[in-house]
Amino acid sequence: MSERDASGDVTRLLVQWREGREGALDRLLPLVYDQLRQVATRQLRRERPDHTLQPTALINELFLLLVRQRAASAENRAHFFALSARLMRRVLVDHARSRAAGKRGGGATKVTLDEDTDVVAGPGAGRALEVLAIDEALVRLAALDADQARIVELRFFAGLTVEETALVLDRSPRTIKREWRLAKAWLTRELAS
Amino acid sequence: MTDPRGALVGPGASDTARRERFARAKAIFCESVELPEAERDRVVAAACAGDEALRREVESLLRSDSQDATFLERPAAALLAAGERAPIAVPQLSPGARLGGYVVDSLLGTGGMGEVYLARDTRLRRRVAIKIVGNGQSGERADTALLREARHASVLSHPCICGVHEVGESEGRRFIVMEYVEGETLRAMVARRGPLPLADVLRQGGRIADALDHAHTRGVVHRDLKSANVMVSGEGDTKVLDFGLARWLPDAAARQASASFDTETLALAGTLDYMAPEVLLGGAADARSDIWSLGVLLHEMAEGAPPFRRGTPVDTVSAILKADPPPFRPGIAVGLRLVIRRCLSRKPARRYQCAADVRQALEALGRHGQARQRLVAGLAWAELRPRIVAIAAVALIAAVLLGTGAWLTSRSTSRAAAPMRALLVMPLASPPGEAGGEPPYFAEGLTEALIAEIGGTGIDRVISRTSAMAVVRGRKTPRVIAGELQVDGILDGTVNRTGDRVRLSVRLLKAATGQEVWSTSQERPASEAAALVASIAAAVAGGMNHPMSDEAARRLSAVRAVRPDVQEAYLKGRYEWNLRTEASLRRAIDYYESAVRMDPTYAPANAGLADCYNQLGTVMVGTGSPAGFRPMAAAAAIKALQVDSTLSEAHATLGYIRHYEWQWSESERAFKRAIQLNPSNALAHIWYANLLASLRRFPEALREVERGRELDPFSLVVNTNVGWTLSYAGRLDEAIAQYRKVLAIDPAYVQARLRLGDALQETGQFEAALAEFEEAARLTGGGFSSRTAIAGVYALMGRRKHAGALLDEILRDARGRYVSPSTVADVYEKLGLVDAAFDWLERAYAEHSNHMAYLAVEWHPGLKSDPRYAALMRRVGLE
Repeated sequence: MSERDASGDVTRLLVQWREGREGALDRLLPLVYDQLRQVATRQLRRERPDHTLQPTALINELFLLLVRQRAASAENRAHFFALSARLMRRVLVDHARSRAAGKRGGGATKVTLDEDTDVVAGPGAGRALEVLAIDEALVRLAALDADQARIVELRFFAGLTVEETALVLDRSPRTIKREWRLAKAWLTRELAS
Repeated sequence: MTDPRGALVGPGASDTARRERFARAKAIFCESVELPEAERDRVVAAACAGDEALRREVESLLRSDSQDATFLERPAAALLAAGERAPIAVPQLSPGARLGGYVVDSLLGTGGMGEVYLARDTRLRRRVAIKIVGNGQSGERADTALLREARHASVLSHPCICGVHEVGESEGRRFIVMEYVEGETLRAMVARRGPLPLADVLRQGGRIADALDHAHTRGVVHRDLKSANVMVSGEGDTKVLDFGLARWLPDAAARQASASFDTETLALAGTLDYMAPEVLLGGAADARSDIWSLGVLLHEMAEGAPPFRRGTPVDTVSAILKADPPPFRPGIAVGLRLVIRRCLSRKPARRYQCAADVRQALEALGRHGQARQRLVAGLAWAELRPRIVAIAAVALIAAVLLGTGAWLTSRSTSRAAAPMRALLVMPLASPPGEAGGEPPYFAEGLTEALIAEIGGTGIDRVISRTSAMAVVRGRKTPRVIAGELQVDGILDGTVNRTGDRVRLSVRLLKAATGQEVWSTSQERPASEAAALVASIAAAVAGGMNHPMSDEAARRLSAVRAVRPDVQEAYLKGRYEWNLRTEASLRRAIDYYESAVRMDPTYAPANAGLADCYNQLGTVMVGTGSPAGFRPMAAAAAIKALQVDSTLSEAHATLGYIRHYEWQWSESERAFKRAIQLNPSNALAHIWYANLLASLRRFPEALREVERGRELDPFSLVVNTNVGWTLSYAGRLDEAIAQYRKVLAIDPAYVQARLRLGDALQETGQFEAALAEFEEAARLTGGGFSSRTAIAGVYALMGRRKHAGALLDEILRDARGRYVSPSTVADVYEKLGLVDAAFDWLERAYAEHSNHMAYLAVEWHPGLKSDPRYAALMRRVGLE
């Protein structure tokens, strides 16, 4: 889907999502997902001296993408970040799935992140599995406390700092810090069993 | 029952119950987690208050908390990426390694494209900087970028641009050899020293601008100008680095192609702080986005931090896109502020269009030092207002903003200066004469004539007499007045009558400083007072450096002599007309008529007569049917124009008449001519605004009424008209505020009270409207307009019986007198008696009441849906 085709739809859906309309986010995700996937691919491929993906850079680029589609404004910051975090999570989990697919022998997804890379269990598979486990546990956490899940999405998947998370959620960094600890504690316990 | 993980999940426990338990556990956890262990246990126990399951849950969570501090701290993406690639790379080259004819010394740093080393050129025995790419497995893309950088940089040869010596290859590695600059980056310098002193900002800025200009004129855009890319050497040299992202100025085709999302540039560009809004939005970078970056740099140097940096990248981007002018600390030179703001204009077209202009502006600021800064600072209130530009600073601001480089000093008060655009004419004074002083009408009349004549020369803005008077009454100094009225020139003078000669002496002052710019004194026989005024007006235009049109010049020279007694009568009439009460209007008519009797060809008297009739025939004054007065007004106006077709007032009057005769295009033509003849004719503008509003051309109407307000800011009539226009345009809250402003100046101004009441009524504030109407009734001693308004609002409040009784009274009292039929129709409408309302509207139609012209915009909630209303509008010619 070309950028130009999608742009009007993205804007419209973002507005709907902002207004709290049912299903808007679900319709929105696939549209932006494709573009984000391309972005993520370029990031992963890039030959940077330290060779790590930089989530914040991904967020920046997503934001600029939205900006270019005239969809973002300062007031939507919280929504934007929530959207990005959700998207990042999807992208990365899918990526993790493709990484782990060999070992797990199933659960293949239709979309792979990096077309060139073989879907073979390698040294990365262990981490990939970890990410998958966290994702699943997060779903259970969200059922108990949506806010907790949001914090984890922002911090772990979107890679925001405590301060940035506090800014987005409009809470104090102290509160976020404590709640983050709780989320981690809960997830640790979940994963340990 | 708990499950092995300690969670409180029981069979049949609902989701809500589980969430509640979690919430309680969360609260206790958060309260206690940061406490020292002993206290923590105590707090937990207390909070759980005997609920064992809860306590176990919280403790289990606390135990998990202390286990692995690094869990989840690394973002998922990093986790995944780290699993796939090699860890952080060590520098590829160690000290002593050879690259062609160069020997590596040490690693200087890592840039977006690759590593940069300090090295020695063994052949030329100098130090150089060498930039290479990643890990020896250079991708094709990286190479192309590297070569591109080198190619661009190599065409640039400038003392402030880091030079490129060569591009080389050795053992599969490609590298660029550059000039080595020892020193610190501008970014580091500002971080270390804080905001730089003005001289440094100007010097560095000027050099960077020069470097940019050099590149731009060779077709190279930097694209990544930032403080980290500017080196300042120990000797004070400035070098701009890293034209590494530079592109050739894109042609149209390339711009098309690059319209898609370009991540490479974004990621490599790193900091967003310097990006121009149009680039963020996906546009191509060009010289003007470089100039934006330069503005950011200047701001960073002057303030200590870039203007749009915020807590998160997202906020930074928002700030850039909004591009509000950045605030400055007090003490920052105003001239510099102007330069920076212009660089940071959101629209590229509003910025400096080339870097050379920025350099010149900065140099100019540097040359003219402190005194000039103060002058500019004192005029800062005029900052960038497009229409009114204070003359003293025009030269400076022009040079700074337009970058003309042509420098005009303030010593030249002669023609070399830019023209004055706005003038305040102070009432001419007459020295206390032998006979106990001049009667007021003479000097006032001449002042008014002078204002009109000067306006007729086409000067942008001449403040009207009423506002000048208001200002004088306030006893402020001319300079303060000039500031309030936003004029650049003040004219004052005296009138001297001795025997049968008149002498007029005036001087023109620079508003901001009070300095005299020019003066003149002329004398003529009293009968030629009009010609005298015309001559002075022409001279004033000259003194303001205003070139007059041929038409204006011809008109001024054609002013003829007038009999003194005719003139006397005219001036008295003018004086009375300005008082605007019913009694004074009638007196004015007497004077004008006697002037006309004595000299039927004296055009101004005819024009004045027309105005008086018009005023009497309006609802505002409300003393007689317009049907009676308007023809007389028309006749007088036409006569005036037959004699002198260049009388702006007469054209305006005619426009007014035609408007209420429903001859829209003739009316518009007349107003336009009136304005063309004298752009400072405030009444022409507001009457024109009325026409436009009644035709629903609201933006134009608002512009015209605003123009009128600029010309006559203190006039009650004009300001009330502003409210009126706003009201028609549907901006009722603003209209209400406007009327209140008028009433604050003069609480006895009935028209504003009535209009305020109307607006309040329309917004449903009936009680408040009633209060206003009652006050108006009190002021007019029970005038019909007020009384019908009161009846109307009672009807709207639901007190229909009372309203009906009031109306009956009015109609009884009106027998034999004139009451405006549209006001009666109004009451019937509000009572819901639609047929009666339309009856009375027919009467209004028959007498061509002013009201009819506004049918398209007046508030008639009870009538508009009736087909008779549409029919009425059609008959009037409104559709």
